[in-house]
Amino acid sequence: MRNLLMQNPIAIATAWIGVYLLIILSPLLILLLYPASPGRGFWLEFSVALGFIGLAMMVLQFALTARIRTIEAAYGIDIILQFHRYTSIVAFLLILVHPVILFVNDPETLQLLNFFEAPWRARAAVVATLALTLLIVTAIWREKLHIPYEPWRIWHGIFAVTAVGLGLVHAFGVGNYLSLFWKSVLWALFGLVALWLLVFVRLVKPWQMTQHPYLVEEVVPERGNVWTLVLRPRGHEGLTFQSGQFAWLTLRISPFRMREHPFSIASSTEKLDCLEFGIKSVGDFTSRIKDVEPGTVAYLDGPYGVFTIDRYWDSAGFVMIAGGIGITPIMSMVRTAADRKDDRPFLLIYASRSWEDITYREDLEVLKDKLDLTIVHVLRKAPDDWQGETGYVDQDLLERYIPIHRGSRHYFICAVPKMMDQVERALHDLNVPVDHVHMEHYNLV
Amino acid sequence: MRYSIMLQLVTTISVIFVAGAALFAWIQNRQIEPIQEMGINHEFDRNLLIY
Repeated sequence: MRNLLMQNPIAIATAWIGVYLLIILSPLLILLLYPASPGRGFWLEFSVALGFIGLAMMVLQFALTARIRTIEAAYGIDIILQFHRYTSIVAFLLILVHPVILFVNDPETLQLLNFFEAPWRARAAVVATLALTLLIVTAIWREKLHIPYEPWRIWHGIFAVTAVGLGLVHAFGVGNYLSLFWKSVLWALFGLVALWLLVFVRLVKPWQMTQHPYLVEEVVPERGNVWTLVLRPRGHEGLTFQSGQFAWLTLRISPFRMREHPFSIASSTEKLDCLEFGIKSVGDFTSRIKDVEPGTVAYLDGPYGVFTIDRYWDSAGFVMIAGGIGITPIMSMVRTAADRKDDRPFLLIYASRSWEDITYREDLEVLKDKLDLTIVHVLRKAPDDWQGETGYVDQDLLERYIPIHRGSRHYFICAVPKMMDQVERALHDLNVPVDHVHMEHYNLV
Repeated sequence: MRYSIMLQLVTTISVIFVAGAALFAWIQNRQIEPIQEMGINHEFDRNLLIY
């Protein structure tokens, strides 16, 4: 039983949600240690409780985004980041409702919005709420506002620290409940944990990265406007990873500048002397990859991700469904399987724009000789003499290729979000067990 | 589907938080009735003392 709880992913995931609820509600639960205060009215207490919950949720965002491997291993980092996005919006709404209830309940409190005459605890709340509003707006509409990723990331951190720091200042300044001993201890602990996570992410982790540098070996052009960045570890043994995982890459600059980008590893886990990343030229950073000179210093933070066949050693085989650059982690998986002389069947359904755009096309052909690998290319713009599949990866196409015994395989999907959603729905309609479908959203930011 | 499941989870968590806040407000604000002196108990105590 104990072993089941320690290893079952659903049990672990449920346990983490329980821990999350307990931490968020602990500021309210701890008040049960004290006798109830003289009644200040239901709405005032409700408003205060929402404020405490919202602030605790914001503090925990630091833990969600600190890339803590034990948490990340239970869900996958893309799920954690999506949870971070959703819960940030909930926290924002709770924090906004907190003063609104006060204003409606007691209109005189509207005077607290007078920034020049209000007490400093109210000013802290106003600035914290403004910072939180800017944080949410710039995070949701970053692309529509045309904010480049790197400055956005710096400002995201500044807004978050301002919102949480001044939120704590406000809570301690009001002091209605924080004058209670255990309550103040708890919030001081929250503040210290947030501070430690900040120090860990901004200082400790970058320092660890500087101790394990890499040098760019070469930059190889691939089909489909993709570049393979080859890194060689310098003075250490290199990254130990599972096939399909990814790492955050810092190029040319110090990791303390926090301008890193997530990329999937495309090479085999059996070849640690060189790491390969498949990078498609689409943005500010990626469009400059082709100009990187050999010998350039690089740093890695990783590996991360649960999108790997290594977790399913007893599966009878695998079905891989890739779209465009989504082939990168799948390349790592099939290369590793070939190096390990894995004798299980692999089916790769690979959607590309055209025959000429199929990234790693020749490498995949070579792998067919080393592995029980079947490749189904699906082209959106097929040449006239094309005999293969065209259009999109839909339910009819999948039904023609996936095995009748659906549960005998594990299914890995990596593509643009729209394609992943369609394929996931189609697999569900084809009675593929939900826990046999694995996905990785590679647009993390 | 995974995001849909997570959205449902976040909705459930949010409901738990709001319900928790309401429960907290009710507990903090509830009227505690003072314990009324019961004459019969005094009689009972006196009888105990006598016997």
